[in-house]
Amino acid sequence: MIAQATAQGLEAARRNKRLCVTLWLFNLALALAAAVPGWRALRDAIGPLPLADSLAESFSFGVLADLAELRPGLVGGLGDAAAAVFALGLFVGLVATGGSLEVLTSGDDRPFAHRFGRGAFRFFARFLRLGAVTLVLAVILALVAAGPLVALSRYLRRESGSEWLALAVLLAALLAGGLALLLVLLVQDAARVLIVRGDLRRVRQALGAAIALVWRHPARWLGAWAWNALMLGLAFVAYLALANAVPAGPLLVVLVLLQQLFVLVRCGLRVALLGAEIALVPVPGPPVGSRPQPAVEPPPEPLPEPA
Amino acid sequence: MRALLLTSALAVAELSSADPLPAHARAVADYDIHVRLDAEAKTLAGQERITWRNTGSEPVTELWFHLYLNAFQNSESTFFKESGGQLRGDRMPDEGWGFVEVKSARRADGVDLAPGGSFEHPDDDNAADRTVWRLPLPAPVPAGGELVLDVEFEAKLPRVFARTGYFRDYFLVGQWFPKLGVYEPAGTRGRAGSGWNCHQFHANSEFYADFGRYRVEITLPQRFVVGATGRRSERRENPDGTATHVYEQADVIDFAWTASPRFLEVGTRFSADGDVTPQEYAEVAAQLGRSLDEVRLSDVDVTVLLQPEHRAQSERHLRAAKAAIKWFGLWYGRYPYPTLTIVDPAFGARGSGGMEYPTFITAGTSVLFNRWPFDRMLLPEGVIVHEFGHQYWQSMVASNEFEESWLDEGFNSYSTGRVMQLVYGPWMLQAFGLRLGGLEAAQLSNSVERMFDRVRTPAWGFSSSGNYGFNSYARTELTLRTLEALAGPQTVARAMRTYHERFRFGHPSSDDFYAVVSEVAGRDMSGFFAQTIERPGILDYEVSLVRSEQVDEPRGVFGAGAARTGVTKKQAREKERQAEAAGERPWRSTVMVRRRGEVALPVSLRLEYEGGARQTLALVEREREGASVEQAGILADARASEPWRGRFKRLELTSERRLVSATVDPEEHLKLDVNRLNNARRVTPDGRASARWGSRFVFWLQQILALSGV
Repeated sequence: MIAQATAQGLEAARRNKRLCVTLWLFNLALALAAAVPGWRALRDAIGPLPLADSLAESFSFGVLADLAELRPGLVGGLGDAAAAVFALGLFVGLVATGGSLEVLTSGDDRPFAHRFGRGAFRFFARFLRLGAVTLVLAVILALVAAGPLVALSRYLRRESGSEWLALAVLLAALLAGGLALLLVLLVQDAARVLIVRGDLRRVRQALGAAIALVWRHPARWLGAWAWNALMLGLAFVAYLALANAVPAGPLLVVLVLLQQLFVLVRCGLRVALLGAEIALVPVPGPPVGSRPQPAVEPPPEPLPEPA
Repeated sequence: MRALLLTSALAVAELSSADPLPAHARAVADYDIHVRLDAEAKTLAGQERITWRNTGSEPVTELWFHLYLNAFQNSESTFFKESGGQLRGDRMPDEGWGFVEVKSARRADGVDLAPGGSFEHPDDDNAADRTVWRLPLPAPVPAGGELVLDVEFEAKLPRVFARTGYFRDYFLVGQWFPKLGVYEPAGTRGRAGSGWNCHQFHANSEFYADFGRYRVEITLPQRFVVGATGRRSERRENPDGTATHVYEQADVIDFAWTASPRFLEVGTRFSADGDVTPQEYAEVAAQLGRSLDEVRLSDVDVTVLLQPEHRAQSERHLRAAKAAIKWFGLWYGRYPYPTLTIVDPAFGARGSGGMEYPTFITAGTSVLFNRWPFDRMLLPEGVIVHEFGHQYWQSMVASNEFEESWLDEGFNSYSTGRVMQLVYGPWMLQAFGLRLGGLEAAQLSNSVERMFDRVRTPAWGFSSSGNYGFNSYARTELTLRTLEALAGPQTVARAMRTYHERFRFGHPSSDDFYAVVSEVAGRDMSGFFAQTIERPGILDYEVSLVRSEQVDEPRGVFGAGAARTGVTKKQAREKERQAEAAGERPWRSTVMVRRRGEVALPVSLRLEYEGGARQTLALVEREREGASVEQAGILADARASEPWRGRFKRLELTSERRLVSATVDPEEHLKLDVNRLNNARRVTPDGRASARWGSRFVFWLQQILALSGV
């Protein structure tokens, strides 16, 4: 089932290249909006300083510290930009996910942009409410899973003579917290699929159904995610190997191309994960990416007889 | 080259005769201690016979003692107030308080003097502090006289949260017995009158003591593995299930010991023949201007008491210890003791790590450093080398760590950095593609925020604990590195060696060091130290402006009367074109160098022109009064092309080629400079580095966006 879902997800990504490119463009446009002013500020700051040239080759704590002292606002500003992009991304992510799921699950013949836009805006508010609920759920679950282990680790650090034991418990706490967060995210994904497929308006009802789904088959959901994560990891390792081989100077354009290729692959894998998750939701409906079935209009309710 | 070095070293050997290293200390305070550890109750019961000699020229009417375990007695001690009840992140648990109590202090005639004792607080007004104890004597000890005192004491060890105490069945017992302060005759360290120097136990300082011979009998359950200052001369098992370990060591200022049944004992022998090559002896002898005999080392038995989970790091510990014995010995004088014991503290007692006692140091590591990716983090090695270094800059050259901590911690940081760089290379930490060097770490801690304190300040008198740390450790290291670059590595190496030789087994002050440096350098160096050690302030030079433009032909009306001529813009341009075609149109460049800090040292300015031509100018602030550069005695041949105006210097230059960049201190001599990035500026910005990091910034923002769902 895991392999089947993964394969279906990859097939969905292959058949929806336009969706992958759209997600990449969303990503790139948002990043550039924050990065271009940041890059210009960086250029103005270090361009005239020959001793910053070493940054073209490698990172240097010393140069960074001196730069932070010379331009106190620069490093903080870049951090603020990253935080702002993350916050904005949380909202844009809802739009992008709604559009993606609509494209992947709808079967009508409307143009891609129409379907993407329809899903993006139709489900935004519902995804937002869902996100708020899952955030609370994630915090509670992570605290329940990791909290006692963190406390135990702190106790062991103070009272036990075993460094290994204290470290192992701390690692277990991190794993438990991470697993709890991952499961909540998978539940959220399942709920999103249910909302889009059934056009459900009751978010809590969808969340309940999603919890039941993931609770019944956690291995399937974790397995599908793990395969996707593995592919992403391999892509990242390949990117790092190639990027580190690119020397500074005119070949920078190669590095930029590599970076964007990796982001494109990441977007494709995001689509593949959504496709796999759609395959794991056993709601009767058209297969992923297939031609749409004509919508069956419910028969009009009979008008009440006049008294 | 090797033959030449050997020859010159041998020539030096013929010139010198007596070894300038003193063989033994003058014994001022001898201790013969019998102590019994109750491993369950965490208590000590001890008797000590102190033999104290009055080395001054006046009779002494009282004795001053350190009772340092009382620093851990309650939250009102000076140590607790200064440290905020925590040290290195560890805190004192409720059940962990410790103390020491003198039960009696009897003269040879049996009279108990202890009831007349009183607690003193010479450093602050904290009457609750009980770490210094004054004992009036009914009869003064005459000049050159001797006093024998039998002291009985009991102690409850603190739970380790800082430096000393117990954790389960691990004991690190330091600062544990009633110990005399230092009686300083007039003239000692510039002192006007005679008197006791006996400071309270502080958050950041605890060492200043006299030399003597120690013999200590430690009785504790037989299951314990024991390590201590000095060499174990005897171990005997007692009928009550205990064992008595006897340790002895002369020429030391303190005694500490450890016990735990879990210790894994590993050892090696540092061999003066096997671990140092003839070539290394010859090179060091030549650099220091000493004979081969003078730089010759002696063998040392090294014992590491490891926690079993750190077994994989035993070789790392031993290698670091050997490297420290070798290079400290070669540079400053042979390690004179036959043993060195290194303790790896128990997990849960890491507050006792990174400590130094004579022939006995504590290190500190983690199981994380056993293997990749943290095995290339040289923290255990750095701690071992550093703590060993205190044998030289605290235990042998027994400067006053309370009042002049830089003479101990700072000299040691400088020496440690040199050893680490020589033996392990420039990087202290390497993991995940990031690297950090030891010197770089010291420079990272330097900033404009460091302008408020002077280095020569009592350890408890700094504006913050961070500024104590920076000034006592990093700033001193950077200062000595700067001196090394300005006065020459050989001069500084010889000065450090001479200072150590002259004050081994002594109590020098900062002024003694300044005098040695001036003597070895052959010129008065007090100006350098006045700026960098004696006064607050930072060093920061910058190139704030660089401009280079082609010189325009004059235009307008020139001359008067009939001779009046005019040059139009077009004519001027034409001349400029012709000059340019002939390669004769000059460039006018402006460079401004500013001194942002208070410290002014000789500095050079390198100008780089198109085509790679370079010009180097020496910049000297002649008009500055007081500790001017020339008074510092460095770079005496420096010439200034223009006077400084205030704290800036503007240079107007005309050249055949366009100026590309200007760099102040291009050789990176001034390690004290708080900001190196502003030391250079170019005329035309270069976008390569910003483009690379701009692309990375975009990429990582994209990853953040991917995490947030886009």
